[in-house]
Amino acid sequence: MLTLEACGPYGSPGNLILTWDSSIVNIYMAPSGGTALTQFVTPFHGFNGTNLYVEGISPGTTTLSWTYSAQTNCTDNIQVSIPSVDFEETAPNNGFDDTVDPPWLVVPVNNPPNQNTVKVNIEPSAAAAQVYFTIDDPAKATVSPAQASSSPQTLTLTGVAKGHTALRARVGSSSGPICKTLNVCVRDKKVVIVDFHFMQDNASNQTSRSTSEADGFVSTLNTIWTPQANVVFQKGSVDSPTVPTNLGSVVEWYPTNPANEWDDIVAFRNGSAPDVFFVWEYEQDGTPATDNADAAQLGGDILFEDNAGSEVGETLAHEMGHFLAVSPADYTDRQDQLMHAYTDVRGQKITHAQVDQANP
Amino acid sequence: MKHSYFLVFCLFCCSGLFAQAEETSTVTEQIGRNAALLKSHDMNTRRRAIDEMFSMSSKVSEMARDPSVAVGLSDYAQKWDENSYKAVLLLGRMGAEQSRPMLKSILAESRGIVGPMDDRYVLAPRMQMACLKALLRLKDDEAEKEVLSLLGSNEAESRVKGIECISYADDKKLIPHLVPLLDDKRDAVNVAPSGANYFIRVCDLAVNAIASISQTKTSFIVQNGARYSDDQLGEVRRNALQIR
Repeated sequence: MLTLEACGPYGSPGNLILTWDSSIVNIYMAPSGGTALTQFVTPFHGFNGTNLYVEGISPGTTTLSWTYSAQTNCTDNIQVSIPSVDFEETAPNNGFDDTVDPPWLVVPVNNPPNQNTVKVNIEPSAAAAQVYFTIDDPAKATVSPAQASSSPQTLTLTGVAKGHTALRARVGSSSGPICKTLNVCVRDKKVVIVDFHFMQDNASNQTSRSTSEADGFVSTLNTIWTPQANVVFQKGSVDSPTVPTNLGSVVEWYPTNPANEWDDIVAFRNGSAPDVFFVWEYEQDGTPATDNADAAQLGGDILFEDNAGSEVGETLAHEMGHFLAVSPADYTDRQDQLMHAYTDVRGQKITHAQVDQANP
Repeated sequence: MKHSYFLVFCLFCCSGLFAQAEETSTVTEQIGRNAALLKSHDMNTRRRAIDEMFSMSSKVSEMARDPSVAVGLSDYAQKWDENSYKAVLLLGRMGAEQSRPMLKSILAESRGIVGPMDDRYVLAPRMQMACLKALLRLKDDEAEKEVLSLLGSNEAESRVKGIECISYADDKKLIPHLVPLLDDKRDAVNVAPSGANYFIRVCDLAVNAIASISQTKTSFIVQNGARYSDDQLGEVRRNALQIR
């Protein structure tokens, strides 16, 4: 709100004029808005003061000039900054999701240092110090610093307790109007213990992978899942069992008989899920001669063939997404995301909605 | 010589009794230990404990003997953990009548959750289903009305939910309500691994539920994932209509 006043000899001639840059601010007569003024000119005589309402419409700085036409050196200027605040990830696939508005940031808890960061871009940068940051529920997360000092400004959020809250960027003070919101999702560390089985059958069909590869798979799973969802994978048992039948050159799940060879393999699962079974070749669409499938998940079991592309850790991370009940699954758009259907072209991004499903 | 055989026989029987007593004691200890772990501050410890208890669903009579188990499960259910729904299901299976008001309260609470800002949003559908199943198993009239309404819905998804509830309640009295669904041949549940599609139909789920509850023999193998022929559906219909 802008209060305009003028004082001088009663009955003086001339007009009072307010000027502004209408590409940066709109000015209204009423707090509820309405039609923006194109100019504000009023005779000095009879003017008893008024309130106007200023709305920022694009980032920048402008000067509101309040002048008296009969004496042009009688001027009052107010500089107005309209800061624009935007949040941006500090690193790819670190738990920041801007596929929705407001964007989300996942912050860990029970996984020291329980922190994640987000970049804040403030425009104009000269107005950075006018931007303050508050958290709706400090019992869930805290933010530092509480006031920007430059742009871009990196904020550190520290998880306190599992739950959702919001980070507000405010103008002028820590209780000023909100100019941007970042939703904050604090996730407890979820430990998933994976058992690995390097399979063979009684006719010398066997995976070419060796048991020493299990650590590499776990490492990639954690590179993808831990920063984005605070899910931590640990290696459980590792073995090389032999199926007591000849499964042939392809391990098949037959659409017309869902049991079949899948069950021969997963009979070797250990205790709690998930179990990863490395097999030589796997198909599930009734065309075993054509290599369509690389890996698949059903319940707590994952079958994973030798010829599964180059980004094999990423493919296993995708299958773990299925295991963790992430939806939507196997979509053919959004190539930057982990749940994109196609091997080696998919990305590693996990959206916030998917994080909530994987680690609720 | 005869005495020796008798002595060996007695020792054999006694060792069997001791083994059984020891097993019961181990199960009781395991249940008690896990019930205590449900209070842990560590989410993963709680999750492992409820998973282990849930895997012992067949031992609910042992769980029901110790009143502190139901208390522990009730507290855990109200915690809204990832697997709190398993505690709800165990309470239903235990016949924990005293938990009925709490289950109704969670059911009402879960229906009031709107929008992803509420941390329980993704858990709400699972909790609702678990409460409905548990209450139906506790022979709650309101839950029964709701489940019958699900079965009467035109939506396949609702019917699937209704079948799951009745299957969980394991009450022969409810079988007649499943019979009309033997005519519903719409695809309902994908039972294939990820990346593949193989649907079983509403009628197939109804067959599985009827067979599981009634324990009547059929001329064919009833198994999850099977699509039954018209003849097989007819056989189950005839059997179901004879169940009293």
